[in-house]
Amino acid sequence: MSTAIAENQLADWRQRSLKLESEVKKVIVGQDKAIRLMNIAIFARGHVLLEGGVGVGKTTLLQSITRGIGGAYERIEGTVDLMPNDLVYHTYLGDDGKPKIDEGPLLRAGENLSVFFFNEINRARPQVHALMLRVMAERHLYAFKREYRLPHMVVFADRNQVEKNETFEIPSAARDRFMMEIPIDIPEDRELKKALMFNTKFQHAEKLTQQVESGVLQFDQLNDFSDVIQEHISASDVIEEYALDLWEATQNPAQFGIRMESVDVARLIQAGASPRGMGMLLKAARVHAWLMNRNSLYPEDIHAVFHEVIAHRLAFNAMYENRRTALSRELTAHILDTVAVPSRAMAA
Amino acid sequence: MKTHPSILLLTGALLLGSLHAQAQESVAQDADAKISAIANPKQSNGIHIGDVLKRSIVIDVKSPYQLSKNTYPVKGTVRNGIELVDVNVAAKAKNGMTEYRMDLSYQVFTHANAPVVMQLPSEPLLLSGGPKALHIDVPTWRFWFSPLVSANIETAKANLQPQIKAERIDVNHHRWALLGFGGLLAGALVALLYINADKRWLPFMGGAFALAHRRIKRLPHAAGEERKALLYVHQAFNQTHGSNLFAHDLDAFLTAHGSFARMKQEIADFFERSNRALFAAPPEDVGAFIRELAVLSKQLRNCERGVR
Repeated sequence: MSTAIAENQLADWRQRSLKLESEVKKVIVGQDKAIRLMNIAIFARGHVLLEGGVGVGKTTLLQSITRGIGGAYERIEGTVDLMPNDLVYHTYLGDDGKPKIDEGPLLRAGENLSVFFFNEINRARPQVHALMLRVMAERHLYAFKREYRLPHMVVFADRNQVEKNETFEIPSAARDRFMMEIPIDIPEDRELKKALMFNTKFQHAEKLTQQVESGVLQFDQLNDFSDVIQEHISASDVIEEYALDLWEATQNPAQFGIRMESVDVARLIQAGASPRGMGMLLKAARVHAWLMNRNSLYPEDIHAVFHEVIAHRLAFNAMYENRRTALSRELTAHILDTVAVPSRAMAA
Repeated sequence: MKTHPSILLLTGALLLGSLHAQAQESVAQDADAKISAIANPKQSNGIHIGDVLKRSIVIDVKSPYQLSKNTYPVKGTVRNGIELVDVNVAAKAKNGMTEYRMDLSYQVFTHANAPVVMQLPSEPLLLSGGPKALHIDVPTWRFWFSPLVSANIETAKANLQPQIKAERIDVNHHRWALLGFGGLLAGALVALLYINADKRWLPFMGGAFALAHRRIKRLPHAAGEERKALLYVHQAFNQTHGSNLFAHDLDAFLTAHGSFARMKQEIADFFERSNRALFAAPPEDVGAFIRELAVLSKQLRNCERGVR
């Protein structure tokens, strides 16, 4: 592909990507950062774990995005009695009184599935997690004596942070499959809160979603274009060194002089970011650079996605694990504050 | 009582002689002679022993009268402690008259313990040459004589003052002024050094940007060195900020460090250029790039020092 064609393609897709953001922002207020991060995840082809309370608009957000990118949207609720086969098929009695089998939500749309929303994934059993995580990684499933391909599927899962009863904590290996964990918080702005309370348009989620222009993106072209972005955005040796420093800082923060209140940093980390995690970090950062209309990766691109890509991958020692959400955010903030950008590159 | 005839005769003769004398030295009338001007000493008090008092008298005498030289005041005459030390008489004829100008100098040689009134004596002058014997008198002139010592001094010992050490002049206010001036001068010199010096041998001179500026100035203008220059400025920012500073933290940095606020645009430009140079494409002219960073670091050093 010639450079000029690539540039045009990049500019065209950028315009459409930003249009998707603006369309979603029309119906989802106070979540600009989350929308930008989900946009990045879509173009980086990464799965997303949504973190947030009940009724903050996660479903509406996902439905709006799905409408914007086109394709099919499927959803399943995580429950303690949910079994893996519930994702693959369901059985029922037909009109003729004979048992029937149909594809489950995961297979129903076939290759047209663009967004799969797993609500309260931590209520499902580990067996369900195992199946789901395998599909997320491989994007295909063997069932009904044939292979189902899900090449365009992006999984958005919601983790219930409030309740602990009848929940199963997602193991670190499973969390690592998600590119990002994005917090969906209630907006702090009082006017937005007031609008969410009193503006009747927010009372009908379905009508709200209909306001988003459909097919802004072509879901079945995203995989190919994602490769174009990754190839187009270059990373200098300085940024490579910097990313390497960041990675090492997630593994051994004390070595970089990082200090945290009420935490023995030397004993905090059991496992830092994984190679897959760092790969996803750079992938997401390149998409951010593309959205910022740049051809080169800057530290700001890494910072823009660092918390969301890295924080949920860190494995803490048991004594700190119950505070992981707060500590992981604090640690990633300290890493960015402490690890200097060009220090090691200068010595070269 | 009987009177001797000879006595009567003598008395009569004396009476006649007296009448004759009165007839001969009549007071000159204005028509014949008059004192047209007298200039007395200007000061009539505070006269001490040895002082010379001068008076000038101008006398107009109508012809044929003239002043008899025999009656001129005689130099050396001492009267009541006042000696006539000089006499000058000049005569000048005009319009049937003779104008006499008489300059008399008196010197006071009297002794007194208290101020007393004294006078320059009257000088009687006779006129001759005319049908009558006339005279004209220079009037007295009174003045206060002042003694040089007080009246009650009897011995020098009683009047002696004890010898005392000379009183010191209070120069404290000068000293404070001098110290103040010295302080100001020293302060000004330090400020001048502070503004212009690059070294860190004065307190507060080891600022992060001062160090960065010093290092950048020493860098050779060779390829790759621009990274070091950028590093030095970034390190200074990080040190001042207390953690890594990136472009998106700039507002927070400027809020916390108001002295850099006037450089906001330049700092934003620096971050943009730094990103380009480090992560996209290195500068083409490394020398110019480093020189510009040296200028920027100096401006930032001035911000750091609170210097405009």
